[in-house]
Amino acid sequence: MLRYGGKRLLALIPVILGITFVIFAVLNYTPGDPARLLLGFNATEESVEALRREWKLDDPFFVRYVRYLGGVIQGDLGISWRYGVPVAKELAVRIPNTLRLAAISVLIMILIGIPMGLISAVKQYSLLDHLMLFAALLLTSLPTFWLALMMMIKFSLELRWLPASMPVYGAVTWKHWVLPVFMCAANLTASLVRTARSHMLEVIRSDFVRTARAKGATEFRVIAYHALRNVMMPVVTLVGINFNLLMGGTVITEQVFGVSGVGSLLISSVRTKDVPMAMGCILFIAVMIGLVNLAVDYFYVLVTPRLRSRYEKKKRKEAGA
Amino acid sequence: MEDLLRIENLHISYRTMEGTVYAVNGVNLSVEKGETLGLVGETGAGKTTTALSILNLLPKPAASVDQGRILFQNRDLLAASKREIRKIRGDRIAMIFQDPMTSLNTSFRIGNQVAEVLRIHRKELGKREIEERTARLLETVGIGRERWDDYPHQLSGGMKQRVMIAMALACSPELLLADEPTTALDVTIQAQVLQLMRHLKEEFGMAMMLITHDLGVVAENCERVAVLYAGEVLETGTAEEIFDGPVRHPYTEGLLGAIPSPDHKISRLSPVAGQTPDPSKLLPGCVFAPRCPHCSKRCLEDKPKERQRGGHRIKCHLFADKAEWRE
Repeated sequence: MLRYGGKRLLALIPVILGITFVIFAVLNYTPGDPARLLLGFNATEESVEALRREWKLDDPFFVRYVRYLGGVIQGDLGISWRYGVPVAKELAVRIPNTLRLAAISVLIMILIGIPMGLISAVKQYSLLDHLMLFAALLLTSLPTFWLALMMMIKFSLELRWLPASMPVYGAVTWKHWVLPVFMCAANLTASLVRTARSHMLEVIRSDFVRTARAKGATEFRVIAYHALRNVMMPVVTLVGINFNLLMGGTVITEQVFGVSGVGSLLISSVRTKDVPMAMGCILFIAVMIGLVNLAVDYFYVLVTPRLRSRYEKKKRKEAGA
Repeated sequence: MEDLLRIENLHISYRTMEGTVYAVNGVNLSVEKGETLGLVGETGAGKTTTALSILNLLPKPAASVDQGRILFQNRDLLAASKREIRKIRGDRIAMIFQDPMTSLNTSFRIGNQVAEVLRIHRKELGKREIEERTARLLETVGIGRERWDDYPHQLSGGMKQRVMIAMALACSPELLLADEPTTALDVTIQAQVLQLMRHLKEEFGMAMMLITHDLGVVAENCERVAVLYAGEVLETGTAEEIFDGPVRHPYTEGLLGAIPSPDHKISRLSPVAGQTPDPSKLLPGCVFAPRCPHCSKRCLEDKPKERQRGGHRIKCHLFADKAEWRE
């Protein structure tokens, strides 16, 4: 099992190399001169040239890519072209915000979305089921930015319970996080409810669940012991996908509530052709997605005997001999 | 002999998007202590539905029992509470399902799946005792105790079905419902599994309801046979009466005519012509009339009553005028 994890971790390296190469190439070959963009159209040709020399923009593409990679391997993500600060320093501020937002949202998704979906399936066609399905459908169909604005009007402007955005100065309290987290979690939780429900419905109609009932097991045991384990795989997959989405995809939330996260940083750096900064963001997102996928796959192997035995074969043989 | 299980006038229907499907229409059956009743019929005749209804395992909310009684030792199972039914399931009435590939839980070790029955119904037993009994059960069905820790994917289809049998036998039930236990298995394994079941039945003295569409299996294993067609029992009798007797229901006649035999050199099999009636429409007359070679006007209009001679019961107008066949 450990070997499996190690192998998968090593396999991440070429994937991340590939991603950085593609993004680097895209940023390089799309029109727009970063130096010109930074200095503005009134700048003289000489000053633009000087900046291009400083950034070594006239070196061949591969030379620059390899030079960038060399830096990354030594832990140097470069200096932002736009702000002149080290990329690592800026990311160190942004990443905790993104991770906190994503982690709390995923936690809510797991704690609320999964039980709701499962209960909904077990009590299919009940009033509770209908209510939950309606709520889930509503939350999936409403655009999140609209929902966020409505929440802001209600809870920040009218009731004055929660702040409308992150403070520019002063301490951030849990109250500041309520609305951003709600906005990130609402949509994804709703989709998880529906996925958990439909998979549970499938499982509780399957033959082995009928076998469990025929054994005389209580309904609770049938659901919690026999069905649950078999429903976890698709559900965990979706949780993983949702977490990955949140890594770079919370841009709207970040914009609306003034959260300084990785998503908005990535968008602005791509727009201004701040290559080192954009690359830093991409690198973070790629590594996170890789790790989360690895965790999901690891979970698969843990709960699926058929997969697990493939990696335990060696141990079994030793035990038998 | 006392009836262990008696099904009286059972009606079951399914509500589907296309309308109501009448799966079981007035089935009467009985199983005596220690006997094997063969329930035969084509696909869709209502065999599985009947069996599932005994343990209240019909898919909810699609299926509904509209009428009838299912008496197990004179207790109506249809009126029993969920708790009472749970106590009977797996303990006094056990069931083996058609498809062993999907009937075991892929996430758990087979030993645990067998032991679960004991853990549910024999709470007084200690952990050790349960493990020992489980190991012995596995050995009884020909699976070594060293395979306790195996998962279903490590077993062949035949072995999976034997695990199902071990599970069903765990509490020595009085009645075993075997729903096409060998249909999903290949012929050699089929013979093994049936032989095992016969042997175990004698050893444990349990009664069995063997559901199948294979008449050969019935002839070899059953004392009595009930022929089900379109949700109705058309004929019930001993295996001798059904297979070797002088008179039979025209449908049974047709079924027997469709079996290839190495003794009779015939160039063509004679299958029963036509198809089973649409289960969403109830026929006013005999359900078999549209396919029956002896069909008369009366058969299409009038539902025949069940007539009997000794224990042999037939539902057919051909027997209406014969004095020895009484209503």
